[in-house]
Amino acid sequence: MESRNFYILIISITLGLAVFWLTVYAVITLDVDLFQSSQTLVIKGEGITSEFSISLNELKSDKYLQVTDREFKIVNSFETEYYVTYSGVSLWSILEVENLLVQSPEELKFQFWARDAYHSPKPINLSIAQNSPNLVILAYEENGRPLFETGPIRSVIDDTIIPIGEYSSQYSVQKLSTIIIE
Amino acid sequence: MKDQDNNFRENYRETGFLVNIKKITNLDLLYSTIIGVLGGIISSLIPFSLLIKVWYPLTGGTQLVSGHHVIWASIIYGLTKKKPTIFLTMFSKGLLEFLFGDPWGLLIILVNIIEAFFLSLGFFIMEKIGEGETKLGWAIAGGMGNFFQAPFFWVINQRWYLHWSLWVLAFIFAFLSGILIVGLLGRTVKNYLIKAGVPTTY
Repeated sequence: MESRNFYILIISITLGLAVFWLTVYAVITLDVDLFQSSQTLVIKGEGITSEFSISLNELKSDKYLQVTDREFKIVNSFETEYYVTYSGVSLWSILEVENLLVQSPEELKFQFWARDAYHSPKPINLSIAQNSPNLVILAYEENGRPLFETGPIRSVIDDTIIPIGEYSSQYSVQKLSTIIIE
Repeated sequence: MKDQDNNFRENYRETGFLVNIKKITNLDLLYSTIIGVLGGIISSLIPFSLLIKVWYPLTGGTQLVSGHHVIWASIIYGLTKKKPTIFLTMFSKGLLEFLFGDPWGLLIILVNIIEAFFLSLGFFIMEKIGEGETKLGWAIAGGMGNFFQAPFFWVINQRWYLHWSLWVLAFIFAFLSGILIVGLLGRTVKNYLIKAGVPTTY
């Protein structure tokens, strides 16, 4: 019995150490900023003039195009369709108002990153944000209520404009912290 | 006094409920339904993941509480000691989740049934090696029952683009959650239920 408990202890310690070091490794490798405020969104990358930081309150200002209570079609990788009502700010309007782009949108791609190191599958062409400014948003409300556990900001792209072969659910990034434009 | 005893006996009818039988009884069905419905409601409506999201920085950490989806199956097994009740409970739970509008649709029922299969397999193996009633046996069976859903969901979500360390961590967390919540917590809850007077059916 004693050696049985000893083995259980050894396995528990090994698992604990593996979890700890893997977490440290992932945080360092994926460049996770543990201290970035959840209320702040950063837009960066080679496609913009300089790194741009914006707070949640600024996102909600009338300076940018606000999309209110719009129903978005989302499709997940099991091809299940569902509809969610979001309110948020148009991504394109931020880029346009702040004059952030260094090239035309057709030549640039963007990718969403979350605070927890989740990111959208691959960079997609920025022209979809330009052509459909109401359908690529940074949402802060779902069904009329502020985003809580999935927020405070979440990227949302309507499935009707998502490139073929991609799933809109994978571009609906919770806890959005960074947008990389290259 | 004897007449009074006879009167009492006359007031009760035999129900056909017997202990020590292998067949599924009405009480087993009742337990499975009640616990399955309870699990379905809790799984659908209560965001347990918040317990993790507030302190763990990486995606996949919420697997640490994923065991709450399967604990119902280990509790029912503790009360009935019949593996089909694990399937019945998880089917009821999956059905409830489906009816509550789970984004995975009917697939969620299949996921619950496969979780039931792996938990039953875990208990079967543990009983074969003489660990059916120990904490270790319940922990490993619980780990097996809960582990499956993590790779399953990460694969059907096609999260190939996420870093390998996040995959490994999510799978370890799923197994740990199975050990702690499905196995050890499930066993403790089962023991308290029995102590509180809930009749077992084995």
